[in-house]
Amino acid sequence: MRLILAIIRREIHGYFVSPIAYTVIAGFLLISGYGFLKAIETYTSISPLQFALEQISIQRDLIPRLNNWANLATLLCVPALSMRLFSEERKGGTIELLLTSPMTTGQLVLGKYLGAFVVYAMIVAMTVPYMVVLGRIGNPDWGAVVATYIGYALFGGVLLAVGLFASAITENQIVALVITYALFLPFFLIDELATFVGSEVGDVLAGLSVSLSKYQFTQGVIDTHDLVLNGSLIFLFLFLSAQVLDSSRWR
Amino acid sequence: MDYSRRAGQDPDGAMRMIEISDLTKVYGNRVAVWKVSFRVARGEIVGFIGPNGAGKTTTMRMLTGFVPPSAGTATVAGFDVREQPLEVKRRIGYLCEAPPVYREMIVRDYLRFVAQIKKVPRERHKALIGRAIELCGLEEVSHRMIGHLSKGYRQRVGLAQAILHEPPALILDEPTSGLDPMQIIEVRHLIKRISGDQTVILSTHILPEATMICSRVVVINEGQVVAEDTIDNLTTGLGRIETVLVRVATEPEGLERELSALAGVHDVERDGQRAYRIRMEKGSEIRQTIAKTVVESGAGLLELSRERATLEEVFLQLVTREDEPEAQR
Repeated sequence: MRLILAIIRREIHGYFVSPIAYTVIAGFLLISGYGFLKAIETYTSISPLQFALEQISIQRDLIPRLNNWANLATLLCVPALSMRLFSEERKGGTIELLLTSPMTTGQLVLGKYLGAFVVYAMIVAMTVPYMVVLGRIGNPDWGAVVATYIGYALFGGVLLAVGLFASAITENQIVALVITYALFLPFFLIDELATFVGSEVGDVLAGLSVSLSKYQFTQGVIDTHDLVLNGSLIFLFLFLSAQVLDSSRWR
Repeated sequence: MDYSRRAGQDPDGAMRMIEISDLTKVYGNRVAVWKVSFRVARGEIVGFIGPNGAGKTTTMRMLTGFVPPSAGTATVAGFDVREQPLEVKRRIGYLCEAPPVYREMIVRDYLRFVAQIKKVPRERHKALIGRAIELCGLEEVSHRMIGHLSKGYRQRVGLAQAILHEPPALILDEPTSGLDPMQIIEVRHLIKRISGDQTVILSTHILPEATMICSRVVVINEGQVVAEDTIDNLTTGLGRIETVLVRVATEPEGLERELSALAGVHDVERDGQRAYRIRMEKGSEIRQTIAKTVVESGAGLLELSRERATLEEVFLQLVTREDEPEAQR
């Protein structure tokens, strides 16, 4: 456990001594901040009549809009965090230090993943002021807000796991980035395909969708389907990463 | 310092620290290492020499568990690298070719990180980090960022990392490569200083280095061990040819011709004034004949000495191919 903590600490340190963390934070806040403004703008321009006639609520009419932007911000920023995880260690030769130290690849993968996840969590935590603003202009369901953050954690968590796997198979960070998208976008876009296919097959495909706008969390529902699906995907990609590191492909 | 006393130790039995047998690594259809076997006794410093691309790095990587072998076994302190990799990794300090340092870290923080991942008990951190810093002469730079250090210092940080947890076996891959002559000397002294009771395997393609530091060498070429012996044995015992130096007082006409006509003599080469270097078949009878010939010619024999081959000569005899670029990286 102390060993994993050491790796987590070093990982976080690595992000903040280089410009990566700051760039990613800036990018994330820029996109999500802009999205937040747009969402507020649309929400506040709803006429009082509509408020009176329909059941307008922050969960129903504002958060989904915000989540579309959060989707974009996460998709653009998180792979930038994950692409360096193992690529950089391979390129810098420090992977030899890690893999010849008395730890299992499982511990190593977990430590690096959690390190990146903590940084991601810090970035997401910076959107908390948005929710404070929401509390001022309306009356959000705070339970749903908390559930939304669980959704963020899962979405970014899957993306990070895919990115970690991609960085484990190449020492080139750009290649890792491209592989991350190649592996993740099918999960993100499968929903579109599912609607197109229709019928039961379509339902099955839709069930594999990983996207903030499809999550029920944002409506305050702790959806076990998404918990299990996303949890399994995280586990799968971390497991594959450990396998790749263990495999004889190493030169 | 004299390290030859270590050469006499029996590499068998309880004294054995590292044992490699039939270790093989094949990449696709390219053989990187083929059935390499050798043993290293506790406290020995063994040089692992060979041209670039001979398989030194691959062998060391298999020994440290970084690369899985295609066949064969490697054990450290009785633990098999494949069966109990964690036990092996606990007992080795490894400096790979490029020092495995994080450039954006402070030297002391980096060593603390290494102590943590090498599972050094927390209460010993301070003492061991202090020891490594002192042994490697890093006091002055211990609060500087590794990326800002010179190459020599970075190499020393790499060494500090390898010796930090006082591992019984040290595996150093070209610890002096890329350093300037002053730094090379420092690093060599350092290796001698830290070795103590530790077993050291050190790879190099710089032969004087092996001669200076090691008690025994393993010569590898094209993935195979071509010789394994003490440097003394290698430089005296190898080959059928030996060289003697003959120094005379005067030079009678035709002495050189007479010498080269002797049975068993390959060639005679002048070595400055009134001296000859004679390459000949090995054997004391031929030396006797040479002495007799010189004396009878009235030249006045001043000196007749057998020259020991340098490790370079031995090496060239063993490894006839020219250096080629390292292929396994």
